[in-house]
This record gives sequence, C-alpha cells and structure tokens, in this order.
Amino acid sequence: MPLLENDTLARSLSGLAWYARERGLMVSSAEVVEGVSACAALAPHNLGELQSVLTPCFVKSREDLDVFAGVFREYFYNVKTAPVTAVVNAELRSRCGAGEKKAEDAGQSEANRGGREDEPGWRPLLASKRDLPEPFRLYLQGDKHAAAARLVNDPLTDAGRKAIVAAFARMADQIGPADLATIRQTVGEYARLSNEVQKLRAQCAAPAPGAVHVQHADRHRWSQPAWFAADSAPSALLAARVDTLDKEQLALVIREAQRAAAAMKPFFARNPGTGRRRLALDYRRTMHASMATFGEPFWLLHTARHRRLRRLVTFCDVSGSVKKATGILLSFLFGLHQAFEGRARHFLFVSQVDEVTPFFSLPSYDECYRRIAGASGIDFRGYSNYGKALSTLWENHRSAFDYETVVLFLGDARSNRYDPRPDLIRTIQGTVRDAFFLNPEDPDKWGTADSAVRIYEKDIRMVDISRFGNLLRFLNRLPDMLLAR
Amino acid sequence: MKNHSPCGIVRISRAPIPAQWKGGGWCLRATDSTMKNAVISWQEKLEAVAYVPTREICTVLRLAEALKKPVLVEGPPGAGKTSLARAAADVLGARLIRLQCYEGIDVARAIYEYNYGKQLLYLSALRDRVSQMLDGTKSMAESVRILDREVPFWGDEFLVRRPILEALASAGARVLLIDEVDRSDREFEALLLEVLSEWSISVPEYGTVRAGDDPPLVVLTSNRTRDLSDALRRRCLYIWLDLPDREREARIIQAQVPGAGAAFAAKVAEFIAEYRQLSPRHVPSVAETVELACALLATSGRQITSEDIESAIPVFAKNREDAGLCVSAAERVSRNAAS
Repeated sequence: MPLLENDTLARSLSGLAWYARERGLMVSSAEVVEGVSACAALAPHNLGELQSVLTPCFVKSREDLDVFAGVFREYFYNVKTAPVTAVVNAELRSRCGAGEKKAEDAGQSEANRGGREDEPGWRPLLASKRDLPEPFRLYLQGDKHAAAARLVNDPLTDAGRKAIVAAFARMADQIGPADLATIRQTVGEYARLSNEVQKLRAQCAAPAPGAVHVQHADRHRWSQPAWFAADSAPSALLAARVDTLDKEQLALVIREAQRAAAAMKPFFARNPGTGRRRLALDYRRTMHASMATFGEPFWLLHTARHRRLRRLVTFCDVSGSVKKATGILLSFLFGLHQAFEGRARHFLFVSQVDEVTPFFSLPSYDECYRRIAGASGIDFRGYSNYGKALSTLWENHRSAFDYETVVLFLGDARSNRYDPRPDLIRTIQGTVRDAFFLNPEDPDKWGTADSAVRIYEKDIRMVDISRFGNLLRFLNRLPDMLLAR
Repeated sequence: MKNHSPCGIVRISRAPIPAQWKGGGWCLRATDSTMKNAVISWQEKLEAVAYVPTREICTVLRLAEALKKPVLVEGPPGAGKTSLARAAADVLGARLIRLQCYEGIDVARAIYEYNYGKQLLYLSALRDRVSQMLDGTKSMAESVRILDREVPFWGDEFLVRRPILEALASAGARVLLIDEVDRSDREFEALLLEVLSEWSISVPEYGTVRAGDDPPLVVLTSNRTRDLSDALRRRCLYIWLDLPDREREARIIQAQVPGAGAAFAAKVAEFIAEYRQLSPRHVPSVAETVELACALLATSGRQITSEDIESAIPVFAKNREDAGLCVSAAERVSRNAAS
C-alpha cells in the first residue's frame, strides 16, 4: 500500500495513540498495529473513513466512543471541544511546574524569603522551630528519606498534628495568602508520607501477643447455621442500643462482630468440608474411575458441591450519627473480606463517595480503620447527602452492580433536606439480586423530620439494626443471601 | 512529539497527515474506492438477507473478515446483536454455531467433553479382546503403546465437540456466535482468551486443536449486565449497537414484513420511537417492532389508527404499567399526524 511506504500512516497512528493516551484513552501498541492493518485492508481515503476504520480497533467500550471521537477530532482537525478547559488545564500545569515562582510574582514580602530562590520563605522559619515533631522538621529541610526513617519509630500522632498547627498559627503574620496553597500541599504530602510509612510498618510488624488476628481467626468450624454469634454474645450487649454504646462497649461489640465473622468464614470458604451430606455424585469422575476396573465394581465418586459466592457491595454512611454502627459492620466485613475472593466492594460516603475496598486487604482492622479515616477522600465532618452520594456511586461505579450482586446500604436515611433520589435506590434495587437498607436509628424516629425512610422503604427493605442483637441476626442471614446454590 | 512552552502550555507536534485523508467526502476515483466498495458490498449483501445495517456494522464486519479478529457487539437487549451474527452467516454462506452463555457454563459445556459412558461401554465389550491383545507383551510400556494404537480411548471417537471446538475444528465457512457472554462467569471469559487470540484450544488428553488459516468469524454479544474484562475486549473489534432510529427501523420493517409499504413502516416506526421515549419498563426490541408491524398489517391493513395500536398492545407491552403508555404514545402520534 503506498501509504505505508514512507511509514507516514504508522507515524500518524502512533501520534494519534499517544495523543489518545494523553487524553485518558488507553490505546495499546497492539491496537495501533491493528489500526495500521485495518487501514491497509480497507484503505480509507478521507478522515471520516479513517475514523470509522479506527473506531472498532481503538475503542473497546461504549464510554470510550465519545472520548475517541473527541480525540480524533482534536488530533486530525485540530478542533478543541472545550478550549476553556484546555486553557485551564494548561494554567494548572504551569502552576504546578512553577508554583513557588508565581508566589514571588504575587508580590510576597522579601522578609518571608530565605534559602533557595524557589523555596517559600515560611519553610526555613518553620523548620527552625524546636517544638515541631522531628520528622516534620527534617521533611521541611528537604531531607525526605531521613524524615521517613524517623517516622518509623516516631509516627505522626494527634499531639504532633496539634504542634504543627500551633506552629503555623504562631507565624500567621509571616504567611501571605499566596503561601496557603503550598502550605496545604506540603502538609498533605507529609501526611501521605506518614501514612505510607505506617502501612509498611504494619506489614512488617509481627502481631502483638494476644492480639486477635482476624484474617487468621478461622479456626472454628461453622457448625450452626444461624444464631451462632447472637446466642453466644453477652445478652446485655445484644440488647444495647448501638448509638448509645460507650468506648469500652463499642470495643467489646466490635470484638463480638469479628468473632462472628471468624465463625462464619469457613462457611464462605471454597472447601465446604468433607461431610457426605455436602457431597454430590460426580458423574464424570465416576465413569472415569470405573474404566480402570472395567465397571466392576462400579464405584460411586462424590465431589464437593460447587459453591459460588455472589458479589457483595456495601455503601455505608460514615457521618457522625451512624459511624458506630458503620464501624461494627465494617469490622465484621473486614473479617470476611478475604473469604469473598475479591467479590466484595466497599464504599463510604458522607457527601462524597470513596471506595475503600483496598484497605480491607490490610493485616488488621485497626490499620484498616486508620487508613480509612486518614487516607480516603471522604469529608467526615460534612452532612450526609444521600442523593449526591447515590448519584456519584451509580455514575462512577455502575459496573459494581449486576444481577449477582447483593447490596447493603447502611445509614440513618437522614437527608439533611437534600434530594434523597429514591429513583436511584429503585434503579439499583432493580439491577441487583437483593438490596437491604440497614438503619441503626431507633425505629420510633423513622420518618420524622428529614428522615427519608418512608420514601426509601417503598423500594427497598429497611432493616432495623438499632440494637447489636438485631445486627447480628441480620448478619447471620448473609450466607443464605450470598451463596448461590 | 511534546514540548512545554515557557508559560506551561503543552504543544504537540504531530506527524504529517497523509494528503489523501485531507478534505471530506467520498473519493470518486475508481482506484481509490476500496473502502467504499467493501462497505457497500457488505451493505448490499446484508440487505439481501433482510438485515438493515449501519455503516459501522459494515465496516466492522469487513475488518473482522480482513483481520481475522472476533467482534464484540454490545448494546441494549433487542437491538439486533444476535440477528447480526445470523445475517453474517447467511451472507457468508456459513454454518452458524451458537453458544448461549449462562451462569456456571464451563469447559464441558462450551468446548469439549469426553463421552465417558461410551468409553466404559466399549471397554466392557472389548475386555476379552484387550486381554488377548496384551497377552504376549513383555512390559507395561509395550502394553500401553499397543493400547494407545489399537484402542484410542482419548481420540476423536470419544471426544464430544461442544460449540467452540466444533467451530475451530470443522471445515468450511462458519460463524461462531457466543451469545450473552456477560452472563457467564469471569472464569469462563478466561477460557475464551486462548481461542480468541490464537484460534486454538489445548485439550490435555488430545492435544492442541488449531483453526489453521481459515478461522471462523466469531461474534460475541453482551447486554452489559456486567463489565467484561479488558483482556477479552482487547482481543476483539468493538461495536456498540443501539436500538435503531426511526429511519432505520422503518427500513427494517420494510425489509422484514412482506407487504409493508414505506408510509406504513414509517408510521409504525414513529409510534415505537414515541413509545420508547416514554421510558416504558420493557423497551420493545426490533423483533417486537416487526411483530407489531405484522400484527397491524394482518388486522387493520395499511391504515393504522390508535384503536388498532391499542388492540396490538400484547405484542410489545410486557408490563401492566406499560399498557397505559401505549395509549399515550398512540395519541401523540395521531396528534402529530393531524397537525
């Protein structure tokens, strides 16, 4: 083909692929080769034809169709779909590249300057304060490795955070408005470094003597199908209202929830045990084995019944009013997470939604909880906005829901006068196999004031988990819900 | 390719665009009309078997033919994904081999299985002969060699070919339709990867079966009840098949309903489009539109009134709530016609 002789076609398509990657559309080299082959086969002679030839090769899902059309248009016709966005992005990039220089241009006083030319003036001043945590001082001095090394034995604590805030407050008169962005960035990066160090430390550290290691606490065989945990937990605890638990009771309840999870874990595991009642006749193995004896004797061989787990999605409100109940549920699910073999996804929200599933692979629940509280992008101090959270969940994580999914919503359904979007609950309920709304609020208060319980309960089953016993009773039903028989 | 200007704005230096691509419209030179010819050829052939394609469909089928790659067709239920495979088979004069996917489908249902019952029966029947045959042997290795040669229990005789193996191993033109692949488990998707990229299957007892230079045209369909893996998508050409617009639906009706005129087809298509716009719980498929057209043609001839449509409600409204919407849509169409 003439177009291929001087490799113009290949270079143009490589450029298009590179441009597409820049725009977030992942085009592999194999797909570029495929595109070149497609062009060779069909010989497009104008850009419209070229686009229709390349689309099946470069686009692999419906969401990417529009993206690719935009990329193609921009690359070959040089038409920007959103010039304003492009300018803003370029501006942001230039700020990131030369953020400190911009601060200088903004007319910041020379008194704040010091050290290197591009270094903000508050840095050396702050680093000279003796009451700051040592790792943070090292970090400000630019020695990040030393800071990380010190963080191993001297982690960032609440007292350390307070000291940092106090130090900033003391030098408030020396900080200009233009410094705020860099301060926020520096402190954020330091917090991330601290989190990463703590994560590594937790991975390396041996479990403390006597500590309950939830992921390996699967020694008890699942012997009773229901009410196991509910019967064995202290009765006072079972009757206790979740929202009135004090710190000690909450720790006890979380331990009970973890115990329940540990007891249930083997039930979800792949190997269901060797008891004959769980076995089924395996026709293929029986025939195969009988060939060795010419069918006499004809041994019947059994195999474990194939058990499949459905997928589980949890969507939990973590605003102040329900965070105790959420903590209990998450501790239970943490114990079971590995048994789901990657078939569970967890989302938390207040007004923003964030997926926290990766944290469930951490070695201990405490670590998981700390990472959730510290690292996820959730506005813990905000007001819960069910409508916005549901809409984000549905738009961004639609693939989490299918006919094999069981969804657990947890929250008090207090809408804070925002639109509760019952249509989304209805849509999700219609898409998935089963969905439950676990409500830790006292049932007497359901439907009062800004509660959306009466709206939601038309479309989804409300489950009262205001008492720990109720929650355990519901959790005992999980195996029935999640095992596809 | 990329450099940053002092103000931070990214500049991209592009590779030169081939001169032939500049300027829109079809190229009129006869020697340059390869793609146009290929697409038109597929379009004519598909229309000849009563399937009304879009330009994208024709392009993808031509590419699948040329590149020997499977096609992944996604779209809402009833958009004509399965019919596309059937029509492609008709056009190619190929045998359609269909694998309907479902939850729990496995290698024994989709690819191959050994007929153990038959093996056992043969073994019982031939026991004495086998004993005689092995009487004179001096070692186990020799016995096994003789057994393998004389009684090939793992050969073609006892191998049950399921659709995928059948499509790979058989000769002649064939189209393999893997329908509703999104209903199968993720593990099954992994089983398909070797087939879709290498056109081969490894059977431990038998060996590797390859399609050779003449692989089947493979069409995978998905209703997107779940996300398919990237590995599967990468191996396929992709096309999104939406429900047809009014014009295409009218052409489909004309093509598939004998005796349907252009005006009649346009009216039915308009009604269905209005009805779909009302967001019924069950969105009527193309096949249901064709059934509706058949029903209307049989009962009321070529003039359609809202009463006729109401009497045909059971054909396309499959929910109690949707019946009310039918009346609204019919009234709206009548109003439009009157105005």
